[in-house]
Amino acid sequence: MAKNNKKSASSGYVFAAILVAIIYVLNTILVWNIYSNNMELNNMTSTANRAINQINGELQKVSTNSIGLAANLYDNPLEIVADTERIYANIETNEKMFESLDLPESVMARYNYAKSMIATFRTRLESLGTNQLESGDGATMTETLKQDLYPLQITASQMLTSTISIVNAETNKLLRRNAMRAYILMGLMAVIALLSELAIWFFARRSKKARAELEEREMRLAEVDAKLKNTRQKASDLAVTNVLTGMKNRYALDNDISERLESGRFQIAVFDMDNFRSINDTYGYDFGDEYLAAVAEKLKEEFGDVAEIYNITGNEFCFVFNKNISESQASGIAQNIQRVMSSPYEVLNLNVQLPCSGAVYHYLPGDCLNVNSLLVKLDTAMRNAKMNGGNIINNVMNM
Amino acid sequence: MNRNKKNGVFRTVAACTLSAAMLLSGGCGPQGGPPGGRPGGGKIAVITKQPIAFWDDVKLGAMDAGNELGYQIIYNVAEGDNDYASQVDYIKQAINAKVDAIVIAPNSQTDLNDSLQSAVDKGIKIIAINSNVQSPDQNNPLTLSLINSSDFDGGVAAARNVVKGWREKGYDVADIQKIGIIGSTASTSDMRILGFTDTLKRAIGKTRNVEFEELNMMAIIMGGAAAMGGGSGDWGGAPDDSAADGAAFGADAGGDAAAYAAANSADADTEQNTEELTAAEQELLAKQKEKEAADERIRQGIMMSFVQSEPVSKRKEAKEQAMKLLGSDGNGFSVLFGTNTNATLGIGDAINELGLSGKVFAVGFNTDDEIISYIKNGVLYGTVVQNPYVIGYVGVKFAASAVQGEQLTNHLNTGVSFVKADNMNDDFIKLILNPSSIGSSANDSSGSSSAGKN
Repeated sequence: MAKNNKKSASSGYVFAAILVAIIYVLNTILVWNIYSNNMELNNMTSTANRAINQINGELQKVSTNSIGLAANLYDNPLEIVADTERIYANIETNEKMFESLDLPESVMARYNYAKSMIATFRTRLESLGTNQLESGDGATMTETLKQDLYPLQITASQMLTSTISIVNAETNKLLRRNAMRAYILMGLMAVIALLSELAIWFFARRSKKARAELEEREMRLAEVDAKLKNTRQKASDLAVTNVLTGMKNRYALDNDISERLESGRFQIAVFDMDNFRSINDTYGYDFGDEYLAAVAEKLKEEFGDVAEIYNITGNEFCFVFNKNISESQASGIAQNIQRVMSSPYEVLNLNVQLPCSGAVYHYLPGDCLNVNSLLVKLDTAMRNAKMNGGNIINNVMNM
Repeated sequence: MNRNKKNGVFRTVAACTLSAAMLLSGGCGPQGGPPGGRPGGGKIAVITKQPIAFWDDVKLGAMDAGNELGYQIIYNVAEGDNDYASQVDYIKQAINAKVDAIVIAPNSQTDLNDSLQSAVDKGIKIIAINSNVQSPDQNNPLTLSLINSSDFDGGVAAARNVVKGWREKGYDVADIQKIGIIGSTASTSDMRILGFTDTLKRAIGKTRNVEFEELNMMAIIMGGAAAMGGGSGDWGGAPDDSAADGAAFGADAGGDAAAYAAANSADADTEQNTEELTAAEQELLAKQKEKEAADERIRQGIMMSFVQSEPVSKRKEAKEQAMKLLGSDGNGFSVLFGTNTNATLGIGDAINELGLSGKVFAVGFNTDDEIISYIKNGVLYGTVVQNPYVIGYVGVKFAASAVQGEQLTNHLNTGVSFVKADNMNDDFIKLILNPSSIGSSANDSSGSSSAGKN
């Protein structure tokens, strides 16, 4: 279940990341489109303005030249006439440049009106100007220019400036439209970004919740696991412990020293209360148990730090002495053990005292194949002691 | 737990940064536009003279300019070219409508002044088209600019084309007899007549070896054309004996020169002939005076050949005046000139009705379908056309410029063209005759008029 939640939260992040990436790419494409569109528009407008201004300027130059010719201002009038051809060629070039642009119908209508005026201006000037110039009739030419051509040039100029105004207005209109598109796009992106943030926040919240649940479950699991371990430990301990005395039992002894039998050298001893059955028979098993518990407690207290003590059967205790205990020390300790066990104990407000017998074995490597044979040797030595009246410590090596 | 918290904060910060980057990138790109874009948003009132085709074309030009410059055009037209009362009302309406500018073709030179002054006081810019008002204070005129074709130049163009056409028909300009002028009541009429008569009289005078004094245009503009022209009475009337005197003077001219040469020769040869020389000089002076008198009589004769009718305002009146001049057989009139649309139509009606097509050389002013038809049928030789579309267009354009605070020239002459049967299909003439063919008006439902349609 936790794994599923984790996968779901992860998918959310992946989805949000892909969504944001797509939006970003889409946004970039659209922004670039608007940007390039604006650049194209600005270039087109600049070209259109340049062309119209050129036409307007050249037309004005022709008009000025014509007036100068009529007023006989030029030393070489034919040069001016020839220059007029160049000016017209320039006008035509700029007309072609302007017409090559993809401009709105309203712009072209105004431009065409101006163009028609320019063409009429040229026709009238060509039909009148040259003749008058050749005949030297400057007065007539001046009159013609003043009354006919100059107004035509002025009004054509107005139409040309209007053309520029319309071009600029149309461009501004398109730029405003692009700006509006950009604003809409920004708004859209803001909404999408907000939604993305909300999605991320939502998934993050979900993930956090899932993580918290997971941690709680892990904690619970750890608790259960600990309990299980504890139970297992307890079960295990119970298997190697004597419930009555709290000491390790026969199985524990088996586990602890089996591996030491082949190569180990250690001191081991067993002790048993002599005629313990009489206690059970006289005071009952409960009393006997209490008596054993008291003895065991005393033994742990007195000898717990020099030997590992096992309660291997009813009233039989086995002492595996520490490694640093020598053979002679072991014998001495055994004497003390016998003394402690044989001393009187107060059990249920009664003073009881039993002698005890024991056996000490200075074990050498390979003496026994297993713990069982080891205990048989010890038990045999201890039984012999009991058979000899008890309250005696036998040495296994002595047998 | 702390590590998780840190990761969460990092993710949030990263997401916010990314979002901000997206927003910023969305907002980039050039935003600036070209200068001189459409200012727009305001209102401009256009008030014209009378409901005839000419003003329909002015309206069309005004509407197109309004569309292109982004101004709402409020168009009104008076009932006739002497109906200034309606124009006063339209000016008041425009003031109440809080227009930014008024483009007006005034039907009176003075009667609109108070209304226009009220508009000016409200900060409204005034542009005159076609004709102007006489502002009380010349240093602070009511109108910022006048857009029209020069009425004088229009008259000149009419006369020049009369001379040209007359010659093209194989006639001698000297053979031109009486010249009838049907003037209108409009303020434009006098200058048109002046330009026409001045040009034609010079052309005729040239054929008779006499010259006329140059006009003092400044005096005319300041004093009014009527003062210079003197009205129909000065020009009308039967020719007197001046023509005969002129002929006699012409015959004597050769003798005068010979006498002068002889006198000079005598003076060179001997100083003793002083008395003879003095007598010869006196004789020469007398002859010169005699010639000047003869020239003056010729000039008077030429001037007397111009007959001007009473001013008319309607087509019917113009026809009656033309009929009165022409009689039944033309009454010796070689040329007729009408100074506006109605006058031209009246002349055409009269010639058509009298069956004098081809016998009377008639030219007019302005155009509409019927005038074009008369020209095609040879009833009229041709007509001077202004460019009403351009007048309306530039009028509104100037008004918009004035609203934007731009400086304007105080007068823009839109020029004239002469339309006759053989140039009607020229591109530019077609544009003048049918401005709706420009195309920019295609989307403007309000600008429905075109030249040649009433």
